[in-house]
Amino acid sequence: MKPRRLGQRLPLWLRLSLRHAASNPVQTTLMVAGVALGVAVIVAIDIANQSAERAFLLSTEAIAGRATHQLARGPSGVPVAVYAQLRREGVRRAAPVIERLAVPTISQQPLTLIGVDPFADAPFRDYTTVGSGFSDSFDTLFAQSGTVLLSSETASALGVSVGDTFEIEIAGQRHPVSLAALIEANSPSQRRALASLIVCDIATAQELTGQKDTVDRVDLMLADEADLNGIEALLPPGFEIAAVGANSGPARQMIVAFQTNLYALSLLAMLVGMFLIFNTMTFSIVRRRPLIGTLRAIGVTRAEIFRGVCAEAILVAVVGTSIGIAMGIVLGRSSVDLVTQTINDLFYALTVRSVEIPPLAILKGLGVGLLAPLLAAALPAREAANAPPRSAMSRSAVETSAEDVVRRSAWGGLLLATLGTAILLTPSRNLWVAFGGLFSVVLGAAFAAPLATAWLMKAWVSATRRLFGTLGTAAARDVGRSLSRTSTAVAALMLAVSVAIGLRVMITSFRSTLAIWLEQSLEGDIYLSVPALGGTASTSAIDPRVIRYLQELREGKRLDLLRATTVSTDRGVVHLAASNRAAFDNPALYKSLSVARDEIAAELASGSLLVSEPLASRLDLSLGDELTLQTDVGPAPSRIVGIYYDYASSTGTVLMDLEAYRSRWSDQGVTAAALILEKGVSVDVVTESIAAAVAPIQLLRVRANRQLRADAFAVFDQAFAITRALVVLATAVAALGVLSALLALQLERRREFGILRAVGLTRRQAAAQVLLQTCLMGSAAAVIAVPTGTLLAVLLIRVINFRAFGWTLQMHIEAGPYLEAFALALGAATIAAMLPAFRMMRVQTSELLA
Amino acid sequence: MTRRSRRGIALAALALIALSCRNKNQIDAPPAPHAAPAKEGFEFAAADRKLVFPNDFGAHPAFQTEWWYYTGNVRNESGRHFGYQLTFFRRSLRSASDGETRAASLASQAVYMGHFALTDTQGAKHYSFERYSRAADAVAGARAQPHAVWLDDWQVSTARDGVRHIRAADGGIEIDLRLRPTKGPLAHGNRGYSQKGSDPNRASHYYSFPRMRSQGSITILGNQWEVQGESWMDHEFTSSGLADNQIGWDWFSLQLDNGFDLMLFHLRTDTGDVDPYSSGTIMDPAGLSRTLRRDDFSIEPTAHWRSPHTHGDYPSRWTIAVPSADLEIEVTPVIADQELVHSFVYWEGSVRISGNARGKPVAGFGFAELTGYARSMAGSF
Amino acid sequence: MPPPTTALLRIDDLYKSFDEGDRRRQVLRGASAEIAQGEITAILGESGSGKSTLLNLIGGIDRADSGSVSIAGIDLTALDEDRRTLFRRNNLGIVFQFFNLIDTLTVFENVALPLELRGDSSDTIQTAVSQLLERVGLGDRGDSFPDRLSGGEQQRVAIARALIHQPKLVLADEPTGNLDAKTGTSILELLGELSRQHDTTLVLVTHSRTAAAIADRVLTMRDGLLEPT
Repeated sequence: MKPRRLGQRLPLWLRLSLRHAASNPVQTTLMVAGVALGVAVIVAIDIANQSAERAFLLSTEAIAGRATHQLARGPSGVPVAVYAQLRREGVRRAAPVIERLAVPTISQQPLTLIGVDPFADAPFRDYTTVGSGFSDSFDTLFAQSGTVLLSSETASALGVSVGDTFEIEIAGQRHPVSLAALIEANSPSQRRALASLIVCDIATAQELTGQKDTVDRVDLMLADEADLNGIEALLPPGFEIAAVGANSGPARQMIVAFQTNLYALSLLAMLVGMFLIFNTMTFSIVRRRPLIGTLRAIGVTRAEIFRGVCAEAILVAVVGTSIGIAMGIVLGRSSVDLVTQTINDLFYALTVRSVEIPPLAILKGLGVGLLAPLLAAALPAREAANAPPRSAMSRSAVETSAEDVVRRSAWGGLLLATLGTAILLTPSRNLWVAFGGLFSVVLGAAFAAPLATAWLMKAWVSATRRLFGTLGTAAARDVGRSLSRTSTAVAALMLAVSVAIGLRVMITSFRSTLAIWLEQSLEGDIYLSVPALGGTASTSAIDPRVIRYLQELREGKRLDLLRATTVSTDRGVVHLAASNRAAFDNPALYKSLSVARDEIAAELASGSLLVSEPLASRLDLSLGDELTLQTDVGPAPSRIVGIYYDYASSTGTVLMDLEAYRSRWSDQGVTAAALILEKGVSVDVVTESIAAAVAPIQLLRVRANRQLRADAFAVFDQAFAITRALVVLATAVAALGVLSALLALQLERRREFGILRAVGLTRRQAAAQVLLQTCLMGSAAAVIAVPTGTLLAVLLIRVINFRAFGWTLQMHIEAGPYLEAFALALGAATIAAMLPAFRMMRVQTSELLA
Repeated sequence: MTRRSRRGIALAALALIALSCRNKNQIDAPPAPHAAPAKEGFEFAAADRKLVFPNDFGAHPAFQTEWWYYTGNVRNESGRHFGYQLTFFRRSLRSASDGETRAASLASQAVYMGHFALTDTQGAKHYSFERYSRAADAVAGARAQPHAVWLDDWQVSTARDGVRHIRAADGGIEIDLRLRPTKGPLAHGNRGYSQKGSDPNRASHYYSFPRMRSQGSITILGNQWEVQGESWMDHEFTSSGLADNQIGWDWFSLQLDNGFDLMLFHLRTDTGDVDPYSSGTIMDPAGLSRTLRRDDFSIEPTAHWRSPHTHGDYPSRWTIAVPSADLEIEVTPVIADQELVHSFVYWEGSVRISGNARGKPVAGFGFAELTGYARSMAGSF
Repeated sequence: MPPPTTALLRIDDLYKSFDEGDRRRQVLRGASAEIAQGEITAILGESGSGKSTLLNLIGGIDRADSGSVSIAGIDLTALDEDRRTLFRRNNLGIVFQFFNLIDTLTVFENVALPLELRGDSSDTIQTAVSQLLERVGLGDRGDSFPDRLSGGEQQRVAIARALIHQPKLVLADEPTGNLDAKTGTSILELLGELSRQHDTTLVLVTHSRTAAAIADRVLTMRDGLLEPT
């Protein structure tokens, strides 16, 4: 009896709410759980995103330091003489930098090697400061080749201490380095930034990377435009000074797009959660109509009722949000790995050693968790307030008004969907706008779901009669009649299932597009490349001896060579690939061409370019446009003669002829080679013999076509792991909604069941009735989810993906996702029916009638 | 482990350079004569090593420490006086005999430090700047023929006619002067071997251009003056520093209007005495020089100045006498505060001379360098 | 216009109809009555004769199609929904046949509701509610929840709640409809007694003649009109 006396000192409505909640613990728990799950997903994704984001920013910041500009010259680097020229002309805030991916062989965790000049670097980066015992270690670091610094955390993670020698792999070459000293971070954020760095003297970096007379770039701190112009005047042609920060590079843009996607998906989960709250609130209001009627009769005003319901929602929100934030923090810690892994695979070497709990994530969780229930409760609260002060309200009246609401909600849904479509048709590249449109469409569908449910139930009445007799009819009628209870539950489940369908269809479409593309584009039998992060193309060169060996290989029929690098253009830094067979054999790989197919090779040889679809989309390039490349011989305006499909890189690539490339850059390097074998030669045998032959020269990945394809899919699946996790979570939230809806529905029907039991319905039959009803609801949700989910998939593929990554994906519909969705909906409904059915089995008829 | 500011590197590197100058705490040479061990393969100054020009104008990587000192006093047409100092220090971190040859163009075994100072006598202002760089031809280094020494855009170069061009700029202060040597090079001590302690290894090779006719421009925060006057250049290289009991020195380069020039230094000991290895050189107008031993001259402080920056208590006026030359002069800083407070602290400034030589009044300008007066920086490492 | 009288409740020419599917049912067709201060009036009528509708109109719970209801000189039909609610809160006590009590509140809390809504201090509430509960014979049941009470006891609580804030007018809608005859009688007696004691005007809707026993006056609802018996 204790909970019944809860809150004796509280204001009336809160006291009533509290006691109502206490006497309906399952519903209350479900409602709180709904909010909690929704909030948890948002907070978790936010934590994961922000931790990865912080790590990214810190590590780029640690690498870029306080530089305002960077001087670079494409693949061949900046000659030391050019740097010297700057310094001799009094440009003092200039620091040479070499930055490379380096993998300690002990851990295989990729780190960034950064070579700096400690003196020139002082104004740029803080961490070049070293702790005590300095003078000796400084001597060593500065004057002795092959010495490096690590943060103490990284050193202990690698298990090395000062003086130890360990091996790092840079561009497939292993180098022993010795740890000269530890870097002490000045702040926790710096510690995190340093976690992914190996710092060494610039000369050591020159030696490790084999660039004796060049550095990768020169960091600059420029006060104003005059500074910039002054420096530009000192430079020979072919050099470019790019501002740091503002452009922040293609990798950053892609990470942002990826994270935006994740964030939007987490909002989708919250949306489902909101529906659940709306659903549950509506229920509890419907159930308390008589109570509200009595209160109104006694003289409680509408405003007081409205405020009361809102207060109740806030109470639920506060409790649910608190739990949700705690859950989100726990979930967030585990999702960080998923997010980081994807970023690592696709975009950038990132080490997230510490998960941080950004206050903003908590704030967002709080905001959404507190506002969403309030928003969701507003409608039921209004309903409640408008309840006439009657001693008894007839149920038919409630349902009549519910039918009105259903009709009105369907109109509202139509309006929302139209609005959403209009938004999506607006030519904006902003991802959030696109998501706004998507949400409107999906929400619109959810609002229309109750009406669709009503129609479906009407349609199914005869079917259920044939299958289950009169009682079956009752089940279908009941769902249709109790729309105030059932419709939001169906809508919530429908929303979750359609999200599942949409995402699954998108993923399968993506996968099949990728498969077709790989089939078309991978002509070689054996591929050689310098090891790099997951899906990113390495820009480190293959040893020329390896190329010579491949050229002389008897089994080889043709050798395709590729030089991948990054170059500066008038549109920013882009990835560039130069190949001796830049023109594709397969016409299907071209999206569009401005010249005849048989002229492409000649066009490319004369210096024209092909650009990949994502690049064209990202930089808004079209056929015939000119892209000015900063080459070693000065700016080279080059015409774009074709756009090709490329799903390997979301940042986009410029493709050009290898000879044309070599005539513009003093760079003979090759970063990947594809070997096409003579007929009848065993690919596996040759792959093995090549691997064995090149091993003493350079550590290369030698992969057969099949292996390369498998690797591509592995990266792909990894990238979507987090998306799948989100689908599961959203579905869980929806299952909760269905559970609470059904529970309430069964509570409503107690008396009805009592009568049925009294006239001779067995317990088993009663339980079956409950199950049937829920299955009908699940089916309704699944049926409505099919068009909604498909629409969602179309939008995700055509609008979101294209805007985020610039890929054209071929819609690929197969039964799998739909069958899964049905299983999901029915499964969720069945699980949700268990408790009420079980209750039905246990309860005494007299209790039902009481 | 202590946390350090960004200055950490600079300070530490300086400590290395400062070793030879004044940081006795880090000197590991024992006081016993003839016993100083070869330091990590560096060569010590030796009495039998002769200075050979132009080779010795360049850097000496076999020696651990080396510096090129340019100081001068100039005026514009209306007599506005300026003193300037541009110094390049080189400090090897590893001896060349370690045998490692490195391929990288930025590989470096040494550190360069530069000090640049300007005294605006009329404005009663003293400006000073410090710089560091790795020793790599691209950014900092020295060359024998034609002589050059540079650290970024602080540069000394030599034209075919032997005129040296020195340029330095920082913080709106600039000098751009051409110096024509009218005396020298002139070796100090025993044909350039300048012993600084009882251990013969505790010595340096030391020569000067005591008179360089100077002409060019001085710029202070946008105001430029065409100036002329006289400069003095010192070049010294060594692999040893002060002895344990030596706490600092008072050093003077004095150019008299009768054509004589004086280089004098007192090494001060921790007992308050003047070390017997203090010495000097007197040069006549024709360029003939004579070495002065400890007892051949006297330097008597007659006034003091307390630095508001470091609370160092510096002498700031002296009576200097060289009885054998019948010379007695008063030496006064043109302004009191010419202290350089950077990685290490010392006073280096322009001085004015007045007095009598052989019964005739003489006047002139010069430079003084006072070390070991401010609190030692060594304790903070 | 008739001059103001001492009547506490004036019902004037009330019309009210309901939509029932595609049909309209006229329930009140010009019902009029005047009830004096302190008077106990019973309204009799068959089921569906419009008694409850009339009571709802008097209580301001529903609105008439036309006509007016005024209580203590205040024309209820001229007030908006919120004012009517507040008027009800301060001036009316209502006893229904069902759903009188709030399950989740104790007997004490149920009775205290009107005082609480009025914002009385907890001391005042404590004294007043205890006294009244004592008076209706439930002095020891204050902490019980309604579902632990018998039907008669529940109606006693309802009566206590209707009277606790000393309303000008108490409306009772079939208060004994759910009770056995004996209990019903005792409830009616209690209601009558308390009304007289507090000099409260009571309008009692019932279909039982026995209820009329406690009334000063009996009106009958017939064909949507009030007729003296």
